[in-house]
Amino acid sequence: MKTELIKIIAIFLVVTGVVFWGLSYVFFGNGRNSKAAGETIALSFNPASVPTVATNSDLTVKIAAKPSINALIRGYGMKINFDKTKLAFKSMQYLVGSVSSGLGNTDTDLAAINSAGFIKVVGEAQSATGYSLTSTTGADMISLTFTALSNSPTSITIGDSSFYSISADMSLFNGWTFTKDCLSVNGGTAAPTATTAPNSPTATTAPAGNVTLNMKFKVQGIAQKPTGGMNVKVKLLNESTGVETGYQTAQLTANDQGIWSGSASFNVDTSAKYVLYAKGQYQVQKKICDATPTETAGGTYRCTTGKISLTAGANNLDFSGIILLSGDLPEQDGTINAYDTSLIRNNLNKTDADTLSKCDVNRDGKCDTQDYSLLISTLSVKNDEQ
Amino acid sequence: MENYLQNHKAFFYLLLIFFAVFAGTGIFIVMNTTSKKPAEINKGLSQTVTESIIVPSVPATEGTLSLTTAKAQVLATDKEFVVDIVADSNGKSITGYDLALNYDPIAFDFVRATSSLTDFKVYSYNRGNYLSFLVTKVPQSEKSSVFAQTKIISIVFKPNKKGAYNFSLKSEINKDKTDLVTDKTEILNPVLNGLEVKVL
Repeated sequence: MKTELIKIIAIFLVVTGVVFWGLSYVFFGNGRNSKAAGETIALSFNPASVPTVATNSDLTVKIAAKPSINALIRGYGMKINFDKTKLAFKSMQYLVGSVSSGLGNTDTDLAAINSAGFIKVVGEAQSATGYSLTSTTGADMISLTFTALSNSPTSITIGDSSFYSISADMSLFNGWTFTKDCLSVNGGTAAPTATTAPNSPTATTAPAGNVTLNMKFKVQGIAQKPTGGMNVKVKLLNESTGVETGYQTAQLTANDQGIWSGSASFNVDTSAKYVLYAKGQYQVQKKICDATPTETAGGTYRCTTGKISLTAGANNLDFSGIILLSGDLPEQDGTINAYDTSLIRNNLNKTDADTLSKCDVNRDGKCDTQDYSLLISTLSVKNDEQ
Repeated sequence: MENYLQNHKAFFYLLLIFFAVFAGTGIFIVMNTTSKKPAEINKGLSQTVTESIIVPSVPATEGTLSLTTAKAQVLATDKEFVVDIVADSNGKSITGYDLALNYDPIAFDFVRATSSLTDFKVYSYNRGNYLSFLVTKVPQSEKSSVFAQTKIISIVFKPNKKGAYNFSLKSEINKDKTDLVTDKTEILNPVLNGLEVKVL
């Protein structure tokens, strides 16, 4: 009887334990990790470009991080590349948390940074709760000051990056994917020459900016030459690997027919086929799969598989056979919503510079019902094409 | 007892396993109910702490958007029913709003949405498992649109399936949001609610 009792108790405890563990695994095991899959963090420069900086003058930029979903960040790391022949690092300030001692660079590493041509940023939040990065505003993570060694065009790029947070179950999450902007200095668009750390396992990277895209665009509502230029953010998706580049900003100018031209450089594998994504200052993002796409009615071009082939050096891509639809006004959030419609409606007939910079979609020098109509006509699309 | 055990061994062990499963499930539920409370408190604390240190991130709620239905919340299949949204804009004049409405697309077909205010136009988007609406005040309208428990939109559904179902407004689903935009282009994040309906 005693043996039987022990057996009964053992079976009871084992089954109870197995059920408890099983339920915990099903509800809090894989599920929790998959919840965070697909989250992204956009890394950008503030200001977005530095059009002119004279020789021996300083330039200060901040790098901002904006997650797709609110996140409590415990630590972060970024590698900031610059061309050491054109820029000299001067100082840095961690704006979120403080430097991870012994891991991240500080002002005391000035000589080493300028010798290597990159800055290793490693910071960590100091509060027990972490740092709240929100999808609405993001945050400036770090401030960097450089001295221009010449006034020739160059750029600053963001290399390998990682952010991490601690989940409620104390597990570590660092599964974000990143979109990274490039800072143009003195009109430079090409990424600086890649410089890697001594003994780095990634020393075999291809030269940066091996491909230059000379692009032509047509924008909804602009049929003649407007005043001023326009920035279009462009990124490439490698069709075979599924890897996306960060956004590069192309500064466009228009001709008399309202065709906009500009360039952007990427460092990509030239044996692959690509999809190109283009997003203008007032436009929803367009997915383009062909080097010379066309459409029978404005805004109807759609595609699935990238067929754009690129060669090293200059590539001429004429996208003026389709139009970029307007409607996602600054501050852009990837969709046309009541904010965008209200922005135009509430500023009808205004002509001041601040208003025009936000809602003069057709660039005719006033915010009016034409702009409103353009936006309404894009509501069949509404969201950025992905 | 020993004889009883010998005679009904299989039944006894099955009974034992049943109780063990029952106990294991019970412990799991109890553990997760009690452990959730401190986690929620922590979450609230962390947001308060970080917001006091850092720049304000999540805007405070202002105004309300409430789902209501005129019928008793018991519906029959194949008969259309209407979900109304009643809004309060906290004294501010509204020129547009967005809605992200979560519902069960298997149990209900979305039929149409109509603005209750003549100077607002509705654009509807069926996103599969939720509905998104962009409602904008026409540029020609000059009158103020302060919502004070005002019915602003009617959304018509047709039930397909018996059961109890929830409709709820969500502050954000993918890129679609629920918000009110004022005539100063200020975005209000209203307090939202849900609605349970029973289909017989």
